[in-house]
Amino acid sequence: MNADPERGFLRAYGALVALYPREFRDEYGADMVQLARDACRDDPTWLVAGRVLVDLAVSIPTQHLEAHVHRSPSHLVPLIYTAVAGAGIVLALAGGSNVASLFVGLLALAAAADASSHHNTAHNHPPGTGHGYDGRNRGMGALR
Amino acid sequence: MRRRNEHQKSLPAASLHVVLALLDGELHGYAVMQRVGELSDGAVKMGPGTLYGTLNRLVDDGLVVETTDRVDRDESERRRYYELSASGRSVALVELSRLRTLVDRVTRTLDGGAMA
Repeated sequence: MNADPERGFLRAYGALVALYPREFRDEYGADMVQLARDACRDDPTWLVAGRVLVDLAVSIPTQHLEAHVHRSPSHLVPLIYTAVAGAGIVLALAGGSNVASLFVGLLALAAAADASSHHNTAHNHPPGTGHGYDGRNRGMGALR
Repeated sequence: MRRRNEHQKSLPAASLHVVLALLDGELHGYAVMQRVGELSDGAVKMGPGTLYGTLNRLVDDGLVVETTDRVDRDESERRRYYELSASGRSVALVELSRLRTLVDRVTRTLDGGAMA
């Protein structure tokens, strides 16, 4: 087989692997290119390229979705909710009988407490330690 | 590492193919892909992203372990090797048994229907 189309394909594939989430491509990027190289030895390059393109179209969104699901929650979320809660309570107090502002403040305070507890839970159970498999199964079954 | 308990629902298709391929023993990525192709008579051709995504999940779930560093290998060979863990093997056998039951039941139903 002519090596040029194969080399061109492998170079293009190596570049496209950069579209996977960083952690995944750092872990498996080189292996994926090696696997494509191995496949070119057994099958025509055009066939491998077609197969790999379909695989990229399916697996890149899948990996991003998984990375998103297992991302650590931002520290800012409880802070923002707390700020909104504080503003709501101040408005309620300043406005005298503004029940709506008081309601918004209390609601945001509850949301801040909830976000904070989720944040702590995520830290106690980082990705890959028992939480997440069921969630992945529920959301990702069709993609696997 | 996440652990998969015995009573969880059946493995997704890609994971099922990979664990069944690894019942043969230790394989590297490309060999897993080839074995999956053989087992399915060429019907399933896993791409690199799907294969390594699946292996990544199976390693996280404790069903597959990487064995690359377990023995000395040729320096020029930079492949990563994988095999089933004890729980992975057990899950693979449970899945195999489930598939056998499914095929037996459907076959009996079809045979019964053919006779009627």
